Amino acid sequence: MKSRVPRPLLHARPSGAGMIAGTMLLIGVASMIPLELFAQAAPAATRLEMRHFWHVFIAYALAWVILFGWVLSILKRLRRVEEKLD
Amino acid sequence: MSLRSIRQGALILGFLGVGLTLLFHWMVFFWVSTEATLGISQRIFYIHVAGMWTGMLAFIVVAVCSAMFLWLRDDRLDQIGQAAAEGGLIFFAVGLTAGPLWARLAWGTWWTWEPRLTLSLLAFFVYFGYLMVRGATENRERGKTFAAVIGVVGAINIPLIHVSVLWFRSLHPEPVVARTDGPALPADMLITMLTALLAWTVLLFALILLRYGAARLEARAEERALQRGATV
Repeated sequence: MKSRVPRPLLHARPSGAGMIAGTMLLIGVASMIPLELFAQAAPAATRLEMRHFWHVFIAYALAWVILFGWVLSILKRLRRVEEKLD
Repeated sequence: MSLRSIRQGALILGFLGVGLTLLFHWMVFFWVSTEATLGISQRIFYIHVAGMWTGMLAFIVVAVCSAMFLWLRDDRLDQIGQAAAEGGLIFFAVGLTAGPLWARLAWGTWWTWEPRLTLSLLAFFVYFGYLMVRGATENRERGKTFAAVIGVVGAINIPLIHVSVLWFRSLHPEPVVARTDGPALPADMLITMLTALLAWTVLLFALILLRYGAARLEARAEERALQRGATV
């Protein structure tokens, strides 16, 4: 009787599409950080101003998450149907 | 249009769309001036408007494809309509999440049942229904027909969203770009806005093409499975 050894998570290799999507997500998020604006506002960073920053950050981050979610779902669908056709 | 050319088109448009999107992000965060009254939070405007505009454009594509599907009964039109409906929902979701984040700071509330917001939410649910109804019927062809009818009828809402701020008392300001007497935005904000609109319009069509390609492949796989079933 074969014993099933669970595969460690660290040995799991991400797929090519996953790596590309992950890299693009990182680039997208990095491009969103308004460093220059942050530096300008730092001296008079009131609570309200920080709130404005957070709202802008969350709005752009959510936009990217939603868009990448759709792209990933299409890529997953494509891979599944290609496997079916092969 | 072959599957190969669909993929190539999606890839070219995708790269162009991502490039333009990165450009408009750079413009939003490092180039465009900060609005005097609303401050930094006004930068949400660029994705909010671009998301809603792109979503509405996608819903118009759904309506045109649905009307043509009802007339010609070509499955490819249904597949394009389905892809555009998904795209419209995604971009509308971006606009509808960015809007409240800005409204909380500008109006002091996350959400209010004013005409434009209500009609926009209605459009979102109408096209969500468009996608749901096709899987809710036992007869697939009937599901496609129901969806196409929803796609056409739902389009009545789209111009209403635009004119609602003119016809009813609304918290939303009157249009600042699409005005008869020309845009009321400063030049740098207008350029950023138009770049955002272009970027996400290109991205929308790239993703619609990609999704349409996937739908075509799925149809082919189903056809093959049916043929195999018939020969066994």
